[in-house]
Amino acid sequence: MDNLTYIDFICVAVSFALMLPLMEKKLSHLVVFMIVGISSCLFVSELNNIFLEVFHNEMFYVTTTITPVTEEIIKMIPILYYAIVISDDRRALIPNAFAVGVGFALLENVVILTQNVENVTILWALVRVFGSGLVHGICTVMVGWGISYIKKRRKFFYCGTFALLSAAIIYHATYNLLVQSQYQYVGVLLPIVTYIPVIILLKKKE
Amino acid sequence: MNMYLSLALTISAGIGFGYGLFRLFRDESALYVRMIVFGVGCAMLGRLFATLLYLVNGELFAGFNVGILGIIGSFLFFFSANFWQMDSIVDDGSPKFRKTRLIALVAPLIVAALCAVIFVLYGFNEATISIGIEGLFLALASYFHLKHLIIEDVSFGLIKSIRSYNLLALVYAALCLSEVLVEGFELPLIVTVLECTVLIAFIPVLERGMKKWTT
Repeated sequence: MDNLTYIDFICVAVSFALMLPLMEKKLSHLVVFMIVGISSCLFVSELNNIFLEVFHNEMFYVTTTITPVTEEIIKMIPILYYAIVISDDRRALIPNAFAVGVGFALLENVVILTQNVENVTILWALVRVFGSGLVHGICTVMVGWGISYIKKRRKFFYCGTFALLSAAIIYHATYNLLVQSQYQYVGVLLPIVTYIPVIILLKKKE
Repeated sequence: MNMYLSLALTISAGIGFGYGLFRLFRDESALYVRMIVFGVGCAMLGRLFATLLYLVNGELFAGFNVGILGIIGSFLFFFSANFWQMDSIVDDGSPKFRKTRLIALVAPLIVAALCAVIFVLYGFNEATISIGIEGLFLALASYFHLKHLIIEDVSFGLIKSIRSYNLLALVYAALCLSEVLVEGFELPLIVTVLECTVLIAFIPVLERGMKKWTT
């Protein structure tokens, strides 16, 4: 059988891409960013496999130290590009940033689902969606919101970009750390607890 | 024990950051102060991850852990605040400050020397390389901390008002490095207590200085 990750990628990304010609511009941006997120996930999965080999399949170390770094850097690139080259308007940047995170989480969930299809349950799906799905979305929103702020303040830009990336990496690593420990329920609750104030804060800013 | 020390650092940084945020929301603070507040926030995140790692894993990873990014981030903020925001005001690049600039180089040189000691004591490995990278940002920040501590005050008391903060930041940088030097890769108690004090004191000290300058 061919590589399952690529099969999943084609099934998901191509379906989204086929929708694009029928959509209005604003909506199509969101879908493009979802496809970018899906593609980022595919790229990162290859990268993470290499790191897993380098670190002798030490899953705990790699998932709490390496994958948060690779995933957040790769997810940040399209958001940074959009903010610098196209627009740093917060109203466009934040939904697009969230779309990158959701796209990333979508392919990640589909890949894990197809690899463990005999063991998955409704609870598994809920944990994946409200756990890791939200983590990816929150991290990219945090970066998008932050970039829209620091882009206008040049003196803030370099340290701010690094700090945003660090914050996203540490948040992601904290989630990965907790869900693999005996405190996994705290880990699952972390993104939900963070999501609510983030939404309230962003809605207030609007 | 290490977990509790790390927790104490997280809480102290949290208090410092929380107080800073409270002041930011209440009063319109200068960008310089905001950058320091976010720097303390970065330190808090890094310490929080280290604490959780102690809780879950029992010890820190021998090499790099993402908590180090928080420490690096904090020094990057301190460096940016001094370099981008303050330095152009207090140093016009004229030759009269040449001596000050040269003396300020002592701080990064000490950091480099301490890093060299760490490399000699523990050899080149993942852990010491991480500390070396941390040391690079620490050296950058400490140059400006020392420079702004000793530079002649020509800007209507501005430098004088942030001298205490710069002294604290220098102490903090030295403490971060000595964390490693004093007891290998374990957190020493006295260093932790001092670091906690500095992390809590950062914003109030800076705020007091800025208040003196603006009133």
